[in-house]
Amino acid sequence: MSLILKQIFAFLKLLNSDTGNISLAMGMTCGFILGMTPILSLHSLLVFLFLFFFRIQIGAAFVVAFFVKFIAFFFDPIFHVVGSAVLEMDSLKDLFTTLYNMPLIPYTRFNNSIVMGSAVITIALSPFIFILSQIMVIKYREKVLARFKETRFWKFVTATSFYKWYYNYSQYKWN
Amino acid sequence: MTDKKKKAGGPIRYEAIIPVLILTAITFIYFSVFFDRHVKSLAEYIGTQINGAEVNIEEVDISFIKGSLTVTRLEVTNPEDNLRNTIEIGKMNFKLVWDALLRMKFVVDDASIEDIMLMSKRSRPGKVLPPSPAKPSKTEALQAELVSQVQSKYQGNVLENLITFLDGSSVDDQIKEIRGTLKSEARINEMIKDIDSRKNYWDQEIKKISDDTIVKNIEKKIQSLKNEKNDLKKISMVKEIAEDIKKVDQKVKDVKDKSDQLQNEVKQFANFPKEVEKLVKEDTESLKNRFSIPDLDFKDLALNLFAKDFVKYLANFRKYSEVAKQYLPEKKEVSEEEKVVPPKRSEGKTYHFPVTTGYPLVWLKHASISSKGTEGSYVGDVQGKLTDVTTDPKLINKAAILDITGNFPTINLLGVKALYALHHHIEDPFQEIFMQVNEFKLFEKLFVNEKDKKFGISEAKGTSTIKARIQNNTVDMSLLSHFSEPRYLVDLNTKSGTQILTRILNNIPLISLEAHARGPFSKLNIDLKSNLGDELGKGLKSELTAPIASAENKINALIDEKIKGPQKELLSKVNLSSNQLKSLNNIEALYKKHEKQLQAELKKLQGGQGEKLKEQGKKLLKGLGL
Repeated sequence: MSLILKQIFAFLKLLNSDTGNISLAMGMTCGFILGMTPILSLHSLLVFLFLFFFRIQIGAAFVVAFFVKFIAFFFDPIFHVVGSAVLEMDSLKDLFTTLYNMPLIPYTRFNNSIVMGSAVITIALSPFIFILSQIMVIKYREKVLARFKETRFWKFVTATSFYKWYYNYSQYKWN
Repeated sequence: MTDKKKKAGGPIRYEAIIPVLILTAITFIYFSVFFDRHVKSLAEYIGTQINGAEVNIEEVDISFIKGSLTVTRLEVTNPEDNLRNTIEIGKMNFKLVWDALLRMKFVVDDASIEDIMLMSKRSRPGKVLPPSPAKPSKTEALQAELVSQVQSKYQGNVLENLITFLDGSSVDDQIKEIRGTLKSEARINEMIKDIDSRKNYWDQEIKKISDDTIVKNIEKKIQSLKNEKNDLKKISMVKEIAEDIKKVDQKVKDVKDKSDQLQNEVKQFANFPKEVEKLVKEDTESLKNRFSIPDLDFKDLALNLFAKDFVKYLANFRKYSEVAKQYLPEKKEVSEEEKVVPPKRSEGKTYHFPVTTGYPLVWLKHASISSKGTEGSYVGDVQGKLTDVTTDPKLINKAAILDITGNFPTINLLGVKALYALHHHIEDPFQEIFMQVNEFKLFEKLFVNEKDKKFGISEAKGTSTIKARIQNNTVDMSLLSHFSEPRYLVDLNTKSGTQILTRILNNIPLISLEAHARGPFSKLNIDLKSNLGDELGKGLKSELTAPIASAENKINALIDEKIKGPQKELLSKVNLSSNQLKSLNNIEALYKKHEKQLQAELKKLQGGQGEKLKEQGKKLLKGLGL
């Protein structure tokens, strides 16, 4: 339970930080793909490399992946149906045979119905997830965070010496 | 409070890329500078452990970009002679297929092995690992199993016996030395002593038993009873006689017991001659062995001459067959590693598409073997190829074949043709080998090699063909060899023995050997034929029949001399014991006869005495008026 709370607080901290909206939204999208896709596949590795080399919020990706993992199981039947439908398409059979016999490609486990289904669905949904995440982050920051900062309670908290000390500490820690 | 805005970075995370680049550079340096050396050291170590003697590699060059592997000067030390290499290979090149490497498979499209040298001299002695008898390897155990089969079968080497006999000192001399050591003689003497002591005992016993004073006394008493007038005295005498007769009865019983006891002993003594006969036989055999007098049965002489060598070929074939099985499995089981890792979530369904460019883990498609010899060097003129060696023969559906032809003039090995095929790709896998050597020089093939006597071939020209097939752990192997222009080595202690053997061997200018082994390794049926065995057998038979017969006669004479006398004595003693038994039986009969007679007399007396007493009593009563 403490792990879940820790993840939730980490995510809230990210939302409340100065991290860019796009970076956060990209991280959340990557997290969605990682969470939905079975971890041991080559395209999961590609997502990791993507996270590593580009300025994408890794924390957001991991937090989202962590939570999505819990609900991904429920979508497996849908992934299976979609994946099977794709893998059984006659028009794609030659392509899959070629891919199956190509170097490296078999490591993507594309020939598994769940992997194929989850890849097709998550990649297809990823632009929408990205846009949706970005909108949500912006809205959150505009509506919720800004309003919260205007509250008397928050002003009271920021006025305390403890907050100042913590602020300085966090600045020191993260810079 | 002033919120310092962090400077926004670009889309690429340089702070992560730089460490990765450094790590990549380190890896690159390692693989460029150190990796080859480490592979070389590892290969040398593993090779040494497998070979049991030092394996050296001059250089290993691995290029990931070219996908190539080059091994320069591989030397494999001969564990039995560490100044020479079993094999030395000048250069080996392997070109790997990149397409397969990307699939983590090692496919050698083309390879070449150059400058093969056999038994080449080493620049320095190779280190030989100490043997580990405590834990023999599986292949060593397999070899030992075969060798022990033959050793146990041909331990009593006819040939060695013959040589020992030819080479031995005279039978007469040896007989003189061993007089008095015969087991049978010692036992006979023991038996005689035993019988003598028992005889004395029984003589005394019989003497005691045959004392008939008591019978005579009773007879006297009966006589005096008859003459006695006093009735009262008569009654007391009758009582006395009855007591004496009881004693006789006891004596009869004693005699019977003794008789039974003696009967048992006589039975035991009666078995003595049989035991002696057996011991005499044993003594005769041991004397024959001592003088190495061979049985003139030369049927298995060829087996005795060549079986051990033939079995070495078999053992080697088995060893390499087992090694091939280990590294080139007959049946490839689909390992978990080769499957795409199963999903941790739902299993889903994994679709399989036709394999058009699948590779086994290791596949040497083609390796050409070539070397050109130079005069005086150990390099042979070798041409050959090794094809389709793989860890998964079923996948490539081809047999692994090693096909070599060549000449090694320096070691007098000419016209070598070797074809080794591993058909592990079919349902019922088998291995077969064909090996032919048109000419080779045979050096010092000794059939008997002892400190003071040697017999064998010192030099000969040979040709040899070996065919073998192994399937389901059952082997079918044949060997056909011819040895021409043989020079024999005969060096025995005695001049006569050397002359006899040399005379026989000079009439054998060509030696042929035909060997077959069939059946499971655990129970091989080995058949060996050689004219050397036959000719040697015939020659030895004609030369040795008379001396062997003479030696046997001498041994028989020794046995007769040493054993016959005591044996006769023993038999007479056993007869004596039988006589004692007879006399004891006579005594028993005598006692019984007398006992019956005496009892009859006594009854008669008792009956008459009673009537008289009755009459006297009646008279006395009448006189009293009653």
